[in-house]
Amino acid sequence: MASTLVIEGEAGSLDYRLLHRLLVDCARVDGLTLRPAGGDATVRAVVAHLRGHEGGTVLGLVDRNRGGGESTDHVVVLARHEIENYLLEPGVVLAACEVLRTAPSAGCTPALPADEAAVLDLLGELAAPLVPLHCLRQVEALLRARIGAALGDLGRTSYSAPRPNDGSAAACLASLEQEARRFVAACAAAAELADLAPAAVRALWTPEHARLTASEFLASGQFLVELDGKQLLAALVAKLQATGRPRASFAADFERLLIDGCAERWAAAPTFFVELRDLAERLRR
Amino acid sequence: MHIAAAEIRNFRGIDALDLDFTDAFGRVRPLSLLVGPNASGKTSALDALAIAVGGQTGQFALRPDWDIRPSTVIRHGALASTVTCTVRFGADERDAVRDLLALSQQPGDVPDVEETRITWVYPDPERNSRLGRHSTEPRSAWRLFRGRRLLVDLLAARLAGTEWFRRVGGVFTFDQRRLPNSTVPQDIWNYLNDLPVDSRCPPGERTTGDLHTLLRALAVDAALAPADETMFGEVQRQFAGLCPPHRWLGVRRDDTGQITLRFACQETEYDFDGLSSGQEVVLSYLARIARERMCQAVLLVDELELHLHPYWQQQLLYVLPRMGEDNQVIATSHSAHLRDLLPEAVSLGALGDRAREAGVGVDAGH
Repeated sequence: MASTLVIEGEAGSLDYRLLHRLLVDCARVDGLTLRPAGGDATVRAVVAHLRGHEGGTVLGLVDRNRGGGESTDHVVVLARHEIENYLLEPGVVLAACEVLRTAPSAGCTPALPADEAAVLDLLGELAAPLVPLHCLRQVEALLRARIGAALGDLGRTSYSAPRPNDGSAAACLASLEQEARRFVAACAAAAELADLAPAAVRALWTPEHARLTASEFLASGQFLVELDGKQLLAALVAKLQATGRPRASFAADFERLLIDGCAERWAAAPTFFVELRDLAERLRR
Repeated sequence: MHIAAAEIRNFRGIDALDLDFTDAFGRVRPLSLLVGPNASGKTSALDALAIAVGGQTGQFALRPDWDIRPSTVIRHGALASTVTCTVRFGADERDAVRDLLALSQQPGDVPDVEETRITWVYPDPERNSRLGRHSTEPRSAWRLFRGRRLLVDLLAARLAGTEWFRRVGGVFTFDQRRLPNSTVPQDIWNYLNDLPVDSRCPPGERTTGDLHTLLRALAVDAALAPADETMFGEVQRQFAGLCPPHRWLGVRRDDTGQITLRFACQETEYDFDGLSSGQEVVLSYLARIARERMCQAVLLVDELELHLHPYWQQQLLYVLPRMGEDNQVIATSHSAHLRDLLPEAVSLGALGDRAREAGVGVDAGH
């Protein structure tokens, strides 16, 4: 039976290539269409639309990002921050490093980690400088959520063009005035919010930053679940490139190595990417 | 066998073109895409690879519309064309060729080197061959290219089984006509044509360019010889993945006694005549790769996107290198869509969308 999985990204993106490899080649979900649809909100909208218009199973898969919400009946939220986080599984990175070690043309043989513990150490070292910015984004997302919850419609800070009832000058001016009043009300209400006071912001920041900088956060590998995988992957590629004189295609080729490694890991470790395995089962039905 | 690099000189419109088919780690890429507009030399580059490497395999068939003459080979103003390729053979393929030589009772040494260089010069300086002259380095490496030829001869003599195809590569061309030129075993041919099928059937194969015949042969072969079931199952699976919600159900004998193909879209069944031209193209790729048991081989595909919707082009890009076993696909395209999907595509010329072409063009030198 044909099935559709709506995913983030675009045609040819890493999401597409990794999921195609794991679901079609490894899990052998026959008749599967992967539909890249951009971001989280678009994926949810496309799933809702397709469920009303297409036969077969239609599901969506979105990144967890910061918070990310819980999976629903038809949209599964990744257990890790985003798809790149799965490429950074120590066993996957180690397998890629083994290829680099035996490929002189890669030009980056020195100081490659030799076991999974060493990979975790290396990734932890690369993750440490990313922690403050990650903490900022976490607290910012929390603040936005609280503002939204407290102010309701007033809390919508994204600007959409005012829509007058008709195209007359009077209607346009009235529309602008109404929009200005909405902003004034929103700003006044926000100014009253206790969560936005500097002390309250600090109170949110301090424990979160302490948690993220605690040695066990890096040592346990939890950072591989929570931190921005794209940034961490970019840091890893930059680190490997800096040790030699690799070719221009190094980043893309390294990514391909990691995808190969994920496929091997999928076969060898049944607990790897478990939410995708569940998804594969549902798509087969 | 896999082509790691090629140097093409004075070949048709190409003055000098160096191609590198390896990744940043020196491994041969499963898929390389040569992208350029019309008349940028894409088909010429494929032909150069085909004749330089395929010409040494002893199995190579030229493109039907390519008549080899000085005026159709040598660049205007030059006196000779040269193509040099670096070709890799894995340890298992080298062992398989040795074993096949022993089975054939042919003497000769097979060098134990992973990488060989083959050079093709046209015209043949010694005037021995109208198709030009091949030389390999090391010299005895020419035998490595003949593994599949040896196997076909041994199969015809019933001295080897089809399982050997997994170990020896070859060179296969998919030209723009997309004809599924392939072979059908004589006994299956007889079965399809309602002729007697028994041990008196002569061994050997019939060549066909008819997709309908090829697909029926593939399905019947799988039904009659369970050993081939997996291969047929893989074609069914890939077709379902490439062209959802369409599926290839198999074959059945209809009321008139004819063997007919059955496909389905959702719950609606249809036969071969119901296939779109895009589906036919997809099936001709899949069936040919399966039928000819292409493994460890070089697949040269001219204009991958022909007849295909962008989604199917994209799907084919992922599926082709995974059909068979350990094949290398070298394809050409003038599709900006495919180029954008593959950042490492080799640019042979601008496609016209300059803003998007700023970062394209890896490892190609004119």
